[in-house]
Amino acid sequence: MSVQTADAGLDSKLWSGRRRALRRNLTAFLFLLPTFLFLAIFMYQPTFNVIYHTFFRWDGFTLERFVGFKNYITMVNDPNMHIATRNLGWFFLGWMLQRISPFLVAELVFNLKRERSKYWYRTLFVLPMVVPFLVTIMIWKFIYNPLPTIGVLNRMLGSFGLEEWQTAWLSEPSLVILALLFVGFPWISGWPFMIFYAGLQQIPSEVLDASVMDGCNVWQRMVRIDIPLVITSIQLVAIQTMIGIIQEFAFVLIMTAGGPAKASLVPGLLLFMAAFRGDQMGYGATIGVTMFIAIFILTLLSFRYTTSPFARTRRTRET
Amino acid sequence: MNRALSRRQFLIGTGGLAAGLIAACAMPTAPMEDDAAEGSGMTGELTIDMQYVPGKVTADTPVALHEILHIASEYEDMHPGVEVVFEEPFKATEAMTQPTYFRAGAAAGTLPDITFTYGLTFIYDKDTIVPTTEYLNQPNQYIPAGQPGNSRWLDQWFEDVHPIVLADGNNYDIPVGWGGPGLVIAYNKEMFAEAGLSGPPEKTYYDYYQACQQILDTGTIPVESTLLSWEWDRMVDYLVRAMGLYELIDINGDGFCDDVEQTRAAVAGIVRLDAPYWVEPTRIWKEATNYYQPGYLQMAQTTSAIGYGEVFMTGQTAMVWNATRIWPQLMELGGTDKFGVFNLPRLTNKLTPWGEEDPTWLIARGTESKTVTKTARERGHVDLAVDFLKFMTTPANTARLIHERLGTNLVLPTIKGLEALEVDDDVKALVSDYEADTAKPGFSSDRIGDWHFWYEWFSAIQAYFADDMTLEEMIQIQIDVLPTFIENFLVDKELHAEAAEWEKMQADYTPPPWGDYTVPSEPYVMPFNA
Amino acid sequence: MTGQTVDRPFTSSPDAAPVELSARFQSALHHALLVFLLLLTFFPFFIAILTSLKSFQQLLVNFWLPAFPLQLHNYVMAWNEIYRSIINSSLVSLGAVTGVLLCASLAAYAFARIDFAWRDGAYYLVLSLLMIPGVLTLIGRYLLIVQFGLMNSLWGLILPYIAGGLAFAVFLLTGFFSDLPEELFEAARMDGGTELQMYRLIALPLSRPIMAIVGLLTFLSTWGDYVWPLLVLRSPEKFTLMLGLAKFTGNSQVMFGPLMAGYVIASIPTAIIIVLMMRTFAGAALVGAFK
Repeated sequence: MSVQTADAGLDSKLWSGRRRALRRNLTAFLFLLPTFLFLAIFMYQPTFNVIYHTFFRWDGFTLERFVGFKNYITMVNDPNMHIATRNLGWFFLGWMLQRISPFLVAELVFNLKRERSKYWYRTLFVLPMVVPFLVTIMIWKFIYNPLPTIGVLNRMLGSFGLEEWQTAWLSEPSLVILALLFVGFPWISGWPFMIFYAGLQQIPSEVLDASVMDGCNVWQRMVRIDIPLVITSIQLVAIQTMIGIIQEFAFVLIMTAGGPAKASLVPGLLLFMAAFRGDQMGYGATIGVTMFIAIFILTLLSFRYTTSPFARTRRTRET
Repeated sequence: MNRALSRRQFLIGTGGLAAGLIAACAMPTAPMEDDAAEGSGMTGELTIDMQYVPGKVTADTPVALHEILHIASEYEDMHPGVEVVFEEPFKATEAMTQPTYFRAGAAAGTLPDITFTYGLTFIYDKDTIVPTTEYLNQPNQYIPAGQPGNSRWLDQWFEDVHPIVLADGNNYDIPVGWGGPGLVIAYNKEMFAEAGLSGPPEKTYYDYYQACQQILDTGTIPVESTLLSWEWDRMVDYLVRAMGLYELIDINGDGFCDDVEQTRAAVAGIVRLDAPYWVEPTRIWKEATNYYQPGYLQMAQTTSAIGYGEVFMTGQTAMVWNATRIWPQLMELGGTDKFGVFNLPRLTNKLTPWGEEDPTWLIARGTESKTVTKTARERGHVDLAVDFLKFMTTPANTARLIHERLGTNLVLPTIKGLEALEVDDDVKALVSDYEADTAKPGFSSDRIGDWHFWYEWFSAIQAYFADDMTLEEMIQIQIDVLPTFIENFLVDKELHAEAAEWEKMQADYTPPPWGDYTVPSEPYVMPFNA
Repeated sequence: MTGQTVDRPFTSSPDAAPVELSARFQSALHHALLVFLLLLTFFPFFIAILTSLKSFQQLLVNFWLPAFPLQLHNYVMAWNEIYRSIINSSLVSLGAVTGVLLCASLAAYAFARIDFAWRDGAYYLVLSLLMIPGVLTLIGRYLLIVQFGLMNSLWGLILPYIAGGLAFAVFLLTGFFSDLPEELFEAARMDGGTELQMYRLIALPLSRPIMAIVGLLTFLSTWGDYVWPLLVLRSPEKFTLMLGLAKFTGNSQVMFGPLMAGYVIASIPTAIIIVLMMRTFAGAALVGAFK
């Protein structure tokens, strides 16, 4: 085929350019076909169904009554939504930092000298991914248990003579978000670690060698070379984390159910309660669609201020 | 060459995948329920789920329960062509609660023919279960002649555990022959003795709280409980009856106030959130939380890692509410030698002037029941399902099922003709209260209001108990939220015409029977501490 | 703060002997820090294993430390519940992983490497699926499965799992494919390579680590899923692992011993896969090696 296009190029560059574009589009279409088949069947239909029903009083099944923008108006005026959004801000900050922090660990392992130790540390840091989250929750409920005889934290405070600091960590409105954020310390979760590590490995070795030649110390190298070069990995993790945080409900539900007195309420929990506890799937969907819009805007912004995933290809192609 | 090959591979790859996908989707299922077509009624594969997994050790059944499997195979022997298939009972998860599961299954036609239920209000209006009134009035040929139930199936149950009649006048479920005894309290016998208590307190809240105080004075935490509204709910129930409101709410006189009846009462002004029966229990409850373990405000379900009852089971409180939930574990940890159990106390005028001196005892009977689902109707299995239930609920078979469970689970008979059942002495006390036939099903305040109402209520309770909010502010939050609920409820159930009539009734209830009662600002004080 | 601990071991320092010593000391510090972090990270793992060897009473009395006698029969109980479901779960997870990797890598290659019309639009169309909360579409997907007649069939798990994993996989893979140096592809294009060849011979081999990550994530999420099999599967012989283990979770109580034993058994295949998979990361800077 490439021979043909080379011949055609003699006749008309314009014509060959169009044919090439057409061929590119066709190839891309075939590459994308299986993915879009799956998505069209199993994902888009239910998703559009949900978006459509934000304009309905809908219980998810039989009850379906058109209400226009009523759900959206209710949501904007819902004081719970305001509280939840404010709480989410704190969770967002905390969890975002937690998810990015394995980058430092990835650097620590990447900078080891022996391949063998690198392999074992890598494997061992990823291995705890197989432990169900239930176990983590169980452990932290034990740590936070309000009884000084059971709760590890309270017992520790007691043994240091700090009895007046002992408290019910998860039923104190001013402390509950902090307590929830601390769950999972030191927050090394397997997959951001792997993503960061894979990103570090893609840095061309000449660049690394050159940096050593220039006498960069590791701290300088990390800031000046590694981070700019693995920004795509960081961005991937950040976007995925952002999506996870904004939609979060299960963890908060199990730990505090949004309490005490709404101090740890998040929008995802409101969505969940409306949709599943309250029969108000339409209202839940409205919160969901609003989250979708927020996430979409944040994602676009992140692409604008870093790099679009295909900016590099486009640049090279067009020149 | 290489190129051509790879293009072919590519085409084969994608094309094959697409074809496979389409084929897989178009492919008819592995035949799951072909017998829908038969529709003959009395043959086929009858699917049923129990409250437990038959024949397996699970968290709810520490000893595997086999008897229902025997009963099913006996039934199969009697009816050639019938196969009884046990499906695993549904377990709620964060993303899938039982009502959702039920509706999804009903919409998709994938429910078992017979399923169990504890509460009906969330499903009956969705046309997802089959009314059972007609069948309950039929004779039950599996019961020997002359015994109750033989000529009319309904007669075999104790009167006040009759199937629930909902506002439309229909029965929708069939109680099995046993129930959990409701929200009983378990106590640690040693710790009671240490506090100088010889046995469970007398059957009033006054005595119960006095016992709590006595235990607290010895430096022990009296009771493990949570912020679920059990205590409050029961007290509201007593005051509603003491003030003569119950009969006004329960229109159809079945002894059960469903959500339509309660919403009607709210529209008519019978249910008022600033009335004493709603406010006084809240005040008393706040004072009673002094007897709770620390951290009870934490969340709705559990405060601890291992689960509900952990604090009690590790010997750090003397009592635990809702002991039915942990009965199998208590049996494992020392049984009735170590732990006793008593029914919930009554609210009398010793605690609040609005109570009665000697009220009828209300025992919440956590009746378990079966429903025949919409899916059974679609498969033409209703008659078969009802016939199987008639066989399963006979006193003879019920006795077998109860006997098997008694060792580990707290279940009590709700069916006549089982007097000889062997029960532990401590548990027998529950039964004797039960047999005194003063037991009445509760008012169940939670049938009024939607998730939003109750979420606001729950959050306000947390704030009020943490002294971040006054009682008056808390009540006002509820009063503000209620109209939204009522409006939505009336629209959803298309009850606007009726609601206009209900509103007119308001005139009949002004002035209200509680006169010029206002929400008190001073905290409640237990009378024995005053 | 952590940054300082990072840079110390590597401050490049020529020959002098005292510096040599301090380098060794710094290397030891480096390892000590990693080991410390590892211990903390592994803590839930230890607790899961400890709990799996305790009875209910032992757990009540003593949560943090091992208790004797060890309750090995917890493992017997768990094994009896799940030995049949391991094959089902493996089929489902492997099917989902294969499907996701195949479809997603093709699509991601197109997004990252082919400059076609409406590329951004199509990409955001895929990406946006990540942004709709999954709980909302759960019931819709369920009704769909029933319509397709996939109830009580493993296909009813595999196909939605593939669809569900695709968006995230495309998202990850596109990011990594687009980070590959364009010169490699330019050279291949000069030699007359087709896109499919470049996908197969350049992009795939260079992306083994990220493909492994995507595969592992898909495997883990399908292996441990509970809600969807609960809805789709009816017959016990088709149950997946988590459905079998659900028997140990009651209405208000959990049989932590057998449950954790089940989790430990269920995590063995996953752990093996992780250990094998991490070998694909072996060899430093992969891309550089090809230049």
